[in-house]
Amino acid sequence: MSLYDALQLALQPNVIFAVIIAEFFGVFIGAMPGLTATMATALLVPFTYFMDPLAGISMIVAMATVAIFSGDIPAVLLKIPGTPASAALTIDAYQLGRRKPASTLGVDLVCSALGGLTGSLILMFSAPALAEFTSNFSTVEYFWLTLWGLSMAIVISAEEPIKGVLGVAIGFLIASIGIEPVYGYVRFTFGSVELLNGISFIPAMIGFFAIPELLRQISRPHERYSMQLLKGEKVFDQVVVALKKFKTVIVRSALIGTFIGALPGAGADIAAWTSYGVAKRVSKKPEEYGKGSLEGVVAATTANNAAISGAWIPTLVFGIPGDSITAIALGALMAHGLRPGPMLFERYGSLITAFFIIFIIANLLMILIGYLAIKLSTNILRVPRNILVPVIAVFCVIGAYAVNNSIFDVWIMLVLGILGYFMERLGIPIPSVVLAIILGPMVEFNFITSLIKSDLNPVVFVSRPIAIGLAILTIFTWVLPFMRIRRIRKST
Amino acid sequence: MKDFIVGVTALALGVFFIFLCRDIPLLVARGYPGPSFFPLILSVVSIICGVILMIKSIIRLRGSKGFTSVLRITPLIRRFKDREVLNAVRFIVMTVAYIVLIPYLGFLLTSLIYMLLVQVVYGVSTFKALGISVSMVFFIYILFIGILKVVVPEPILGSIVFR
Repeated sequence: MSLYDALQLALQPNVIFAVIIAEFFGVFIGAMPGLTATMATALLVPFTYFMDPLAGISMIVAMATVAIFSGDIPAVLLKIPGTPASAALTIDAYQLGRRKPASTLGVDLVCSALGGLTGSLILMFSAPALAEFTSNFSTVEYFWLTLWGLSMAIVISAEEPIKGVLGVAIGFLIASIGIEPVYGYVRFTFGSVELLNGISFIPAMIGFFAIPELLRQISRPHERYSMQLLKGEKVFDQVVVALKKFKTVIVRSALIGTFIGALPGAGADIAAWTSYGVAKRVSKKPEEYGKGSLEGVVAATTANNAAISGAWIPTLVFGIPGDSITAIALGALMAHGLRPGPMLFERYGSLITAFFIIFIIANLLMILIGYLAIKLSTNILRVPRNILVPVIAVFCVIGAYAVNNSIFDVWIMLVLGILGYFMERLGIPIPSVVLAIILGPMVEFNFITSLIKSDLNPVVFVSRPIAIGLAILTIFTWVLPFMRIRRIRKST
Repeated sequence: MKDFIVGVTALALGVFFIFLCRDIPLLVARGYPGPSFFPLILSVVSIICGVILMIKSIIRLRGSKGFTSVLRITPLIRRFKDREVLNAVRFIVMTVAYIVLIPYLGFLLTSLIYMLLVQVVYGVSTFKALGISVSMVFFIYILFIGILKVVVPEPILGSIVFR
């Protein structure tokens, strides 16, 4: 494997074309309030099946990268975050946008790209090393790793941990439909042949992430926003000054974003909030936060784009998704026969390096496409919901159908979509459900296999140093929130 | 009220899965965990979560409006009449009809009718909706069927026009 081979793969015209198309798609989805990068990924994945693996996966990376930036556009112009990842910066960005919307977006764009590039470089260098480290992992380590992933999903993504636990239980039960992974026993299929292989993953993802959003959008089909107009100023006017002034903030936020992105279950939105919070705490002017702080915008936007790259670290190394986007992308990787783990780096070295190069290209291209997006933003934001929703619904149907050429999958999508809509309204976090659908069978397989191999000796779970470390990490994940609550109670 | 609904549903889900597990072995061979081991654990987890949520919501409501308000269904009915919920329900009904009709009329024709209908129902003028629907079907045909070679459902009666 050489870098030259990887570059040749990454610079193929079909791959670059796919990246550009995906970035335009990402701009549109991200800029539309309510439509998220996760939903766009769910819609995109079925079509990547019909493309070559690198072009298909590159599309997902490029789309997500741009959508997360593009979500900042309505934050500046409408005071509405385009995606959840933009929520942390919305108030400050809007206040700044009232005076200089285009140049605020210019700084935002460049910082997003810098965050994404830093995350990509960390991914590029850390993932292969981590993969080598994990090559000696047995089912015991994988059991703890997947259990830790689920624990993180519960603790981080849920406002109420009890609903996070419930979400994981529901996801786990959904995943247990079909042929059981250890003994091949058929469970909960009600005699349906279609359910023998379990609930199809991609239709389920489209259902959980796209349908609830469509239902929310169509609930208020005539809602119009009052929009700030771009005032003919130059987009990159303030960039050089901002980069000089906030260089420490950018580096710190990129590192925070990548680290949080790499935690299972924690996505770009949590990265943005954490980075914003840290920046405010160490800022010389914390009183400006919430009233139009460019420092706050820089911190949040750098971190959310860094998180997008960071989320791929556990996805590629362990097969444990870092966020909802990579959870869905995992399905696309598997569909192309690319099973995450140490073997992926050994067998497909050039392809993986090419994939890393795509991250760099996507972030660099984002500056150009993001610039166009800023210029066209007022037109994008005017597309009415009552036109958009039925069109996206048709795309959902064709996406769900295309995976197995089955109308049954379309029904699965709709049923799980309606379920997801009500679950969201009732406060059950969808990311926990989805992570449980992915990790549930892995937890079950690794737990039972470890017990069989050790002839029912439970000590096997703490018989190796890394397993002990992961067990402590899992316990710590559960105990930490309670310790924090106790500390807060004591101090008040 | 929300937590109470979640609690009852979680409880029912747990009981339902325990019922489904009755014919699946819990332990196999020399006492190894069987195929119903994990589903049973999760069903119990679901029941525990449900009970906790129910108790929490009852305690909370006791402190505010009183215990009986948990069982009142008037707010639910009012919510159902809510315009936002009605809009969502209308959309679900049209989407169900769309999926039912796909095998009979084929993907392209059904999609055209669906997009047109949804737009008109939600306030887009018929002429504009027709233009958008026709161009979207054309775009889908070129991109998915022409370029990506995606197989779309064909009508039961079979026709090149309807696809």
